[in-house]
Amino acid sequence: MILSGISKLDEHLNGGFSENKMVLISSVPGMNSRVFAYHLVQANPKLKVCYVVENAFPDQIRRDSSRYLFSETQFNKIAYIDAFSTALGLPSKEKYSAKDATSIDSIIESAEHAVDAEKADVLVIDSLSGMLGKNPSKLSKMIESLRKLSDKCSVVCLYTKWDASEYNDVKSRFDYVVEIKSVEERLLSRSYFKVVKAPGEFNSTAVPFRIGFDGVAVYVPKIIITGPFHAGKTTFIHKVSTKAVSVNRMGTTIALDHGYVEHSGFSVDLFGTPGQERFEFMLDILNKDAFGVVLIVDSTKPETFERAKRMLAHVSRYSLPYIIAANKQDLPSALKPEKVREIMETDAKVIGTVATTGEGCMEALKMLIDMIVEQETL
Amino acid sequence: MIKTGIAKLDEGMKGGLREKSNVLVIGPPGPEKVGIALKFIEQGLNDGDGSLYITTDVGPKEIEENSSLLAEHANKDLIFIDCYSWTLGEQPAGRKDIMVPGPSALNDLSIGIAQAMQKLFKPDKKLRVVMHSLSTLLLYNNPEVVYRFTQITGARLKSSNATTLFLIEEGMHDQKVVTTIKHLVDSVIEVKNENGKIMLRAPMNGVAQWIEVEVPL
Repeated sequence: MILSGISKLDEHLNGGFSENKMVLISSVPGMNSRVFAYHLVQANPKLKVCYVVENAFPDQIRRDSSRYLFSETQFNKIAYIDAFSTALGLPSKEKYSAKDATSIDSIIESAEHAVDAEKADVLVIDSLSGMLGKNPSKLSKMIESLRKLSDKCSVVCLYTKWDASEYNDVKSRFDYVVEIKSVEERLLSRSYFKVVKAPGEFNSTAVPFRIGFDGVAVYVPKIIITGPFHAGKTTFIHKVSTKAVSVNRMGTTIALDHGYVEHSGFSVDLFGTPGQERFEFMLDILNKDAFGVVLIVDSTKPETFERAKRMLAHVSRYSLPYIIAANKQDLPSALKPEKVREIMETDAKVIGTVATTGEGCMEALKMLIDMIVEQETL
Repeated sequence: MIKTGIAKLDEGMKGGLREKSNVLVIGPPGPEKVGIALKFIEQGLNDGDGSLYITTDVGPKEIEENSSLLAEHANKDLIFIDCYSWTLGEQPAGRKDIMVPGPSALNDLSIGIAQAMQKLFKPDKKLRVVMHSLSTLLLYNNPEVVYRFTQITGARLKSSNATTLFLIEEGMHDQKVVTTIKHLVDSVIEVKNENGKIMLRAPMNGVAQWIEVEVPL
């Protein structure tokens, strides 16, 4: 078994990657998938790793990996295959290098040579998308060569998904596929990975993470529950949460409601903001780590919708996925969800809820989480 | 509207470039395009906008030497992405720019852009970006890859409130390549130098005739 080195990922893979398989680590542009390769190197100290680098000098990869708190000794044992220098007409300083780094065949040939000479256990290709960029028509031939190499070692390819149709073709040729995605393209701060293909059983739940000094750090995403004064935010949180606390004074929330919920394996922290206007700044603070927003309105009080619309405008500046809960549906004067949507002038999904009984609350939350997880970036 | 900082051009465009748009600046080899880029960034710094300058052809220091305003704002509301100094093997002394290991490392470049946008982004702030230049990316990458990069990066930059100038050399690339890239952007500013006079036109923005302008060279 080859460990990915990220415990949550190993767990989802049922222990790790089986030997002699083809592994694709695919990411949307702008994500550093190299860190996943570093984790793998770090987690398997007994394995010999050959690392093909096609888009930078090997020294730059040495420097990049040393930015993280990984043990240097393991990284010093990597045999780099320089598939960059000769493309620039420069001599390579490495023991292994492609004679002509502009040619896919030449790169593969040097990788084959290094794998044999080093008796490698793992071959990392950094990156498959870069190599395909040189000549996209060579995909089949290249995969065939890598497949042959996988009889001798595991082959781990880093890949950036620039093109969806190419990706679907590439993906079908691998045994394992791990996707790195982001919820929101713009800031890329809300990233998650998930296993989408494996030979045996696997767990395809999305795992949010950040990249910090010690590499990939898994964390619990936040969902913000907001809405005008007395819309039922606190009741909502207490109803859906496994555990919840509130800071109250004179019957209203003055600091934060905090709850915790699990759905489709995603563990989510819920943060409720006070509804009063003077607490608006808290939205800005909370938004930084937020994955999505539930806006709760009191369906019996259309006069508060103006305020709700302003809150929505405030939140939508961050382009977060959101959903509207039309609360207090049990009261006779409550407007129907469709009517609420009309008055709010929004295309968002509006769900009828009764926070006091919990009706519709979990459904609203589940729908939001599904929206977050399924949001495709390409 | 986003002012380019070139008064005559802004006037002709009825106020400036459309906000959150991608603009191709095309002209024969020469310093005019960079002159336009510098004006554009300087205007932004004066207006309080955040700015990102991506350089593939020269070091950020050389860019700063042409504009004291840029030097003053660097690492504050101006960030440089340096795809050039990798040729030196390391980050130049005293610099804090975002480094990219070369013009063929397009994913690293998009990581750098995402980092920079995270630093610069504020919900109500306008952002300005200069990509100097697409020509270098085309030299080191397959054109198809550069198209995808331009398309995806352009869309992302727009969604982070940015207006972007993509610089490209005229006459250096296949006509087909230039035509494709023109299709990927929202508008085009054409530049030429006629016996020392710098002429511009922006047909898609209402400046159909060549106008003479002054930019720093």
